Amino acid sequence: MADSLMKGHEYALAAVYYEKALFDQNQQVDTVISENFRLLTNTLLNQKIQCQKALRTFEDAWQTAQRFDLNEPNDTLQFKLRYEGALCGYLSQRYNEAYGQIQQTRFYTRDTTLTASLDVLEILTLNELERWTESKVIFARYVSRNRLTIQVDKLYDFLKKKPKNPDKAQLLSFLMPGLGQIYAGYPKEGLISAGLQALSLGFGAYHVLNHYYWISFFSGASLFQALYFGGARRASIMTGETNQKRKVQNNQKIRAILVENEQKKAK
Amino acid sequence: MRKVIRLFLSYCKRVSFFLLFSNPLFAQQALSSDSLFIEYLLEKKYYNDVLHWTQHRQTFPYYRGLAFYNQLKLDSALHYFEQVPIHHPNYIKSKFLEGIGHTFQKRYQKADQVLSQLSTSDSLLTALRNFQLAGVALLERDTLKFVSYRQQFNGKYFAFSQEEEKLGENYRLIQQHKHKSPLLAGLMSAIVPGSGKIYAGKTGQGLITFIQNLALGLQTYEAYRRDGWKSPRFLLYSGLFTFFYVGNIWGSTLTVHIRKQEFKDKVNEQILFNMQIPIRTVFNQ
Repeated sequence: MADSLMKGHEYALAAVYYEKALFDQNQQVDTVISENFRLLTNTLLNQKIQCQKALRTFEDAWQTAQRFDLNEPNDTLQFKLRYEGALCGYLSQRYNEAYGQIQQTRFYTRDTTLTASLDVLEILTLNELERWTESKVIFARYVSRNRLTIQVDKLYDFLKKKPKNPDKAQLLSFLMPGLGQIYAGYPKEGLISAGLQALSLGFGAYHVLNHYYWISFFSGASLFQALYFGGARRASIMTGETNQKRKVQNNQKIRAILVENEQKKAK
Repeated sequence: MRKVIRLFLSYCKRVSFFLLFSNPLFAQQALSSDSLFIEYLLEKKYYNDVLHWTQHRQTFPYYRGLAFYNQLKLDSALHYFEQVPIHHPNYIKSKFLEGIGHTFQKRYQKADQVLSQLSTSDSLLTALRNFQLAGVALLERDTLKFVSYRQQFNGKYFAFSQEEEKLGENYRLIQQHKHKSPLLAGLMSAIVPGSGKIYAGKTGQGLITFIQNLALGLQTYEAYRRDGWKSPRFLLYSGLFTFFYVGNIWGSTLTVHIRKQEFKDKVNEQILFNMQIPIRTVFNQ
């Protein structure tokens, strides 16, 4: 029943029917051989996970994956279950847990020809955790195994660039308004900020020289002060954004290569 | 003769067939294994699964109501709780959940109606019903009704004796709340900018408004003294000052209204919370 629903893309309903099958199974736990029980339970759970992945409810898929019975003597089957768990972890953005699962899978699976397929997932997970040096090692291994003509060093050379430091950006802005934003990667904003501050200072100075004391203090000086400190704070926020943008870009490049290669292999 | 016997036998078969399959026990068994599964799903908090499973079966308004209620989709939950028949084992629970559901959605009259019409034989449930009605009355700010319900608080039941006291405190808080006049706030702000806001309760904002008005006032004055009243500087600063000054009066009046609303919302939130705890304790929901 559930399988036919899955074929018809009724994933939400199919998921419930799988749960029902699991429930019915549990009711009969005493009358069934433990081996068959475990096999059937794992199969049903796996099917439910496929439905949940199709619905893109990855957090639910991860929770379901925790229910796998991993006391499975068959190596291939156990690897499949553990891999599914790690994959659900990655998809639900639980990168630390996914990485833990990957290491466990490598440890528990005795057949190393199986664990080769873990490399792609490990590279992607490490990238999300910003552990690029480790990911580079595995990527190199992947490239040599698949005989690809990619220069690993060139792909990972963004590592040579250090991430932008938000405190440094703020300090630069204090020294010279606008400089912090230029360092953060937003030169236009830096120029505008510097310009506005110069204007307010000029306004203040002009009015003091012409004996307009209150006007120069309130409109000139306090405006300058707001722009000065605000600009510095904005510079440090902008560095955070630049770092994030860079991380996403670099990860995307590597991910694109991996996905393209895996798709070619599948054909 | 044989024809008659055959007819009679086929008649017997049809009757027994009919008797077997209209047997409520048979239908009950199919129903109860389903309800067991649904209760398992509810316990695991798979509410969406509950909704999918019961979508095409008309016999489970109670479970659908519960699934929606736990996802805080109150209007859908109420729609199903209303359909629970009177002989259902969880009818009374559904009515209580309906009561608090309508209260959450601010339909106080409907909540009052649902709860008043519910008949309870159990003394615990009668006391609970009385408590819920008191809560609704307090939310409506109907003092007489609240006091009459409150007289029946007996504090006997541990499940909500604390909440009964807390509701009394909420009532006291409402009675003792000082009323601020928006008109007075406006007048005060016209004389000393910012003072109206301090009266309304926002001291920090009042101080800032005062400084802003002072700054602009001084600048306007300086512009007038140096340049005269037709000069662009004076026009600019006097315009800004007028804008801020008028804004300060209007802002103070508005602040009084906002503070009143803030207080009302805070107290109502507390009342609602106090109403919900006993429901959770008594019905495990």
